[in-house]
Amino acid sequence: MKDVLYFAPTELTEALKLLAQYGEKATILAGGTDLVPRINYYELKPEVLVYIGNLGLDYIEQSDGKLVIGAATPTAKIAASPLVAEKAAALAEAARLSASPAIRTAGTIGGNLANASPAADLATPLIALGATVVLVSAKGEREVAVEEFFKGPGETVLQPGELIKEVRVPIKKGKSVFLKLGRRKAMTLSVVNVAVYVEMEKGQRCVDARVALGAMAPVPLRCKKAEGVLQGCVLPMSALEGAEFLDKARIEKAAELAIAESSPIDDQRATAWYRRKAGKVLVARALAAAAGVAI
Amino acid sequence: MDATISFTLNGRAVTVRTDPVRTLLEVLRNDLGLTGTKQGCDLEGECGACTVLLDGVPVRSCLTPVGKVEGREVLTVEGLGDPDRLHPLQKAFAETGAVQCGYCTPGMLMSSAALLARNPSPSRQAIIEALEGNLCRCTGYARIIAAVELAAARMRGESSPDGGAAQARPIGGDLLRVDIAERVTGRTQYVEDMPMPDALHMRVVRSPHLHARVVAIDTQKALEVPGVLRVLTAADIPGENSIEGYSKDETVLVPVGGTVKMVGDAVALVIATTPEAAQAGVAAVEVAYEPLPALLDPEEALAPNAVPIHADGNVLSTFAVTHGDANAALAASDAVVDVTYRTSYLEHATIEREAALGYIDEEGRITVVSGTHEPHWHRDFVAPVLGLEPSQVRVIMPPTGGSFGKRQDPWLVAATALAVYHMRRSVRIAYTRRESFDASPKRHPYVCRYTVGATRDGTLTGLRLRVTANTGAYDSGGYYIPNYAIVAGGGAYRWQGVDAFAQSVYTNGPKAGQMRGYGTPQSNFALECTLDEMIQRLGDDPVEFRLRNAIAQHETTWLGYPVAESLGYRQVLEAIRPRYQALETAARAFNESERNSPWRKGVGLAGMWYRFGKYGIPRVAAEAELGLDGRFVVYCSAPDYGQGTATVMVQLAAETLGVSRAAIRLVNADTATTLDSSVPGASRATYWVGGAVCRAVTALREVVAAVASEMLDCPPSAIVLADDRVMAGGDARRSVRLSEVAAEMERLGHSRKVTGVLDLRAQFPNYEREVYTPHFVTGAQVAEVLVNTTTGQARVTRVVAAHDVGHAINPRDAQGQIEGAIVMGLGAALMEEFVPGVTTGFSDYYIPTAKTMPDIEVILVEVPSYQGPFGAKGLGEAPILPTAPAIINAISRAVGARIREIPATPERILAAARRGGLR
Ligand SMILES: Cc1cc2nc3c(=O)[nH]c(=O)nc-3n(C[C@H](O)[C@H](O)[C@H](O)COP(=O)(O)OP(=O)(O)OC[C@H]3O[C@@H](n4cnc5c(N)ncnc54)[C@H](O)[C@@H]3O)c2cc1C
Ligand code: FES
Ligand code: FES
Repeated sequence: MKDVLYFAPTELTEALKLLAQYGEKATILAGGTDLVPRINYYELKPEVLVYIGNLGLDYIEQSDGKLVIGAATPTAKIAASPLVAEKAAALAEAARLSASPAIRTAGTIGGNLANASPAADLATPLIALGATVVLVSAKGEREVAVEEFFKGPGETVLQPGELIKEVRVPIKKGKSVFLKLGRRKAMTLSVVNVAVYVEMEKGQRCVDARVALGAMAPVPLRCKKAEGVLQGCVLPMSALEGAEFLDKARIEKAAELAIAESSPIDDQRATAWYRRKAGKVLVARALAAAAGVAI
Repeated sequence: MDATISFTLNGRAVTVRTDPVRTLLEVLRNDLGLTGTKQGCDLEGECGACTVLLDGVPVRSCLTPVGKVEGREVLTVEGLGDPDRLHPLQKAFAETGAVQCGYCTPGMLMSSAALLARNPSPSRQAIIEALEGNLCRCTGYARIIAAVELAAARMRGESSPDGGAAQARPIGGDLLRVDIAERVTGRTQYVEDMPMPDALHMRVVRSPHLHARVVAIDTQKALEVPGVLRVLTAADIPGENSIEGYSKDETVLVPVGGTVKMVGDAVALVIATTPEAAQAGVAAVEVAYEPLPALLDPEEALAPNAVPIHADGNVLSTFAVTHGDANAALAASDAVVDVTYRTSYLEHATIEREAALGYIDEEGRITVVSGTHEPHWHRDFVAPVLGLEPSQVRVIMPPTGGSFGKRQDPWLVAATALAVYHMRRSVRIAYTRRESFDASPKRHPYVCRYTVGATRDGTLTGLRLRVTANTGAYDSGGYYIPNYAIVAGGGAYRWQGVDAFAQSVYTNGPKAGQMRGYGTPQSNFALECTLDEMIQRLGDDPVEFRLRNAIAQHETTWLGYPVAESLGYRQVLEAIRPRYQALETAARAFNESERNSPWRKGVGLAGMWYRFGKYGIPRVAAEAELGLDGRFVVYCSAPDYGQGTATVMVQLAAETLGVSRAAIRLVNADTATTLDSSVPGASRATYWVGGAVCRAVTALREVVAAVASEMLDCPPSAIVLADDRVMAGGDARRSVRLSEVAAEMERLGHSRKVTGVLDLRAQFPNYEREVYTPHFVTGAQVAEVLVNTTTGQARVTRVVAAHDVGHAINPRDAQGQIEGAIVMGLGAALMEEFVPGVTTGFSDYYIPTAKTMPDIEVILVEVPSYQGPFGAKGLGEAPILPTAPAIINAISRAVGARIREIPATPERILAAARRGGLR
């Protein structure tokens, strides 16, 4: 870990220049909570570290109907933000339940995404909320949907020289819910986590539903089939017309489909069997809470 | 590439020139000499011991590259307060018993300080959330949370009760620990904190194989690594390559031609000028292995054609008890339960990793400072390795960050001594957390088959018990495991017939050895769960059933002799009965009203007996001295790794002398200055060493009184001791200073140091029997558990614990021991499992956090012992025994199906709920 070139630029352009200059040799350092353990344990020997904590990428704003969160915003700040709690409840909850206080003060939203763990807690709510990430490099800027950002465990669409600048979360009318199961109450990686977004027209007809699962596939997963069976459904007592009733059976059907789309594995934390069983319960519970259905 | 980094540290500007990628933790500890901030894991963010404040916000200093703190403000435990001006949090931690070993304390304090700065009136929940990332293995968290509440109240200016610092009498009151001000300010120096600037660094070459023959060891490349000075192999051992006496057939270093028997087996020691060079040296040592078939399952290791792991086969030891006619008793039973229970490998997971510092002392002795349960034992095991006499070796117990049995393994002391022997220089070593997991002894996994009979009216009849204990690669102090398994496995119950057999079996799993409760929690778990199965079968009541079948004080037990100490089991069960009934009724009501929810509440009860007898001759010695300065000095060997033994010894001495604690100085656990107690700490220290200390100070008092009575011209019986003087009767005008008495003794040539001996051979006449364990403490616990039957998640909401402690010398510490044991037992019940070759550290071996902690209610039942000091018994280990079975009984009752394997992970609970017909 010695003899690393360490840069702490204070301007984004400067950082991008460094990233362009060193290309694949450069490693971005944000909160360091994923990266530093790997360096400490000699697994990783970066040649050039570019610290991005001084670039002014620590912000939570509302603009153009979107919640805009700087990539270097610590998880703790997201967990404590009233704005996030109001506009993106599932994200706030995921932030609150991730890691532990002294990790959340350092760990960032950008790092959580770029690290691309299948169990990353902030990824599922961002997928359910239809968020995008803004990627910048010396060559320019592009915007990618979070659900298309991940390619595999530890793999993303990020190119050498590119960094996540911010996350944009569309502010919508519906309700989002995040649920997580781990092997203990605190400081635990997700054995399975679920985020859903449901929008009910007049509180009665489902006009938008999104379901995302974490730790259930090589990447955080969006479950489109599950979403499909919820579209247009109405609450059983509703006066509105709908394709089908949005009731306990429908929600369980959606949960089943979501699990069918996943491909969980056995690991130290849980077996695939358990992940499927508990994941289904979690999806159903989250959907029921978001849609206002008793199950 | 070095850079200059300036920041504010504890209010002062500092500048360091260093590589900005080094961690803040390393820079604080190594470059700036602030060792209050601790390292508990492999710099991976998992333990929280390294927590400091960065601009007022808690961060892990191990994950903070020091470059990041440029221009910012860092606060460490040293900056929070100092021994003369404690921060309110430090004061409250000291007063509430929030500190046991103290290794987690600095991190806890910093997380708490950040919370209170932000939120002066935090709710309990807010405190728990603020501390959820700080692991503590000793306290069970309850007292830490109480300390934060107390400090917050005081900081808000609210009057609050004194934490109990001022008490009239030394024992029985809630007293501060002896060295508490140092512990809460980060001043206490644990081994890794002790400065020794020119010390060399040692790392260990360990086996990556479960089982393999060492064909060759090539050290050439390692010796070429810059900084590497020496690589030691078995060929460099001057004496015996063995720690016989502690562990049969275990080598210090596996020789060429020998076999490594587990992952982590030591093959060579690399000694270098820096830790990095030593590590590089380890990587460069070339060991050629020829892999051998590996056995992990003890049942397979017992098969007739199994590969022998040791020359004498795969059975280390066996033990059997036969009492009455078990077969006939079982045949005559109305109900028979025949079940098999399983437990897994557990790791102590103390927050301090194994560490040692070796050097040559002023008298030329090879000296090792390292955590131990009896330094004399370690000295005696290690001297033969070096081919030296015990007097040429010295072992010193330093302040230690927890043990739970871990530090009884002498390997580290042997390896360090060997390095010092060759280098003639100081050498230090600290394990990585991974190494600690790989190489330290574990709790033995058991397979217990129970066949238990009872009559229709709920009277126990016969017990057939078969225990297979997996001792892993080595004996490692596990030789007597079968014996302990059976004594605990039969319990404090009246059996008409017992046929019990246990064996300890070698496998290629990690060596299993000492761990809190040594071999008893596993079989007690199986026993108490089996009994619960019987109780449910009979529709009986868990308290009444146990009371009905409990051994009476004077009857001959199924072990073949009566107990020789007071047995409080009935009193314990009676004390817990109303709490059990209330919780059970509440659970029924809950389950009724929540019939349609996935939640079920269960209440379970379990009991235990635990022996705290001493091995060998029931005789222990200690010394007491009148110092020339007039202070009393107590010399004994009762190592304190966090449980508070040092404080107890001082309290006992002060109470016996009738002086305050300040008048006593303790010299503890150093082979050069104290006598061998042959009491390996923990539960036995208070009763045995404490008893010897009381006798030593009593003898000293007599000598002092004799001399003082001459000086004051009064009869010795009229002499009254005060802290600094001796008076004739109550007359303060007729007094001499203790320092004057000491001077007079010098003048007269009287020895100022006397020996006190606790000798109970007359009281325990059977001590020469092979298995004679007549001293038991008892206890019972009730657990209330909330289970989600659709996800298998279980939450232990409440534990009520009733324990017979004889007489609580320090009630607060006794409660703290019980709380810590319960949370550790909860970990074993629900989440802890070491899987050989898979588990690496805190990221995959989950121990309970503050959020896992249940509400704990402790009932101290005091049934005075006959022989212990002031009626005290032993406590440290016992309270872990009933926790897991109480929890498992609660879960099994909640889901309507038995769980027979721990940990009861959500998977296993979900599977049981499905068997039980729930969802
Ligand atoms: C004890 C512990 C517990 C944890 N628990 C949880 C948990 O419960 N849930 C969870 O989801 N995570 C958990 N984590 C993981 C981690 O804390 C989070 O993933 C965190 O958000 C990572 O952010 P960071 O800023 O620390 O990332 P860093 O470690 O700084 O970086 C991680 C990776 O992302 C890259 N990177 C960082 N920022 C950017 C950027 N803006 N653009 C491009 N690449 C970037 C880095 O190069 C690196 O490869 C835990 C970690 C620890 C140590
Ligand atoms: S040493 Fe930093 S968290 Fe363990
Ligand atoms: S006191 Fe917390 S780890 Fe020992």
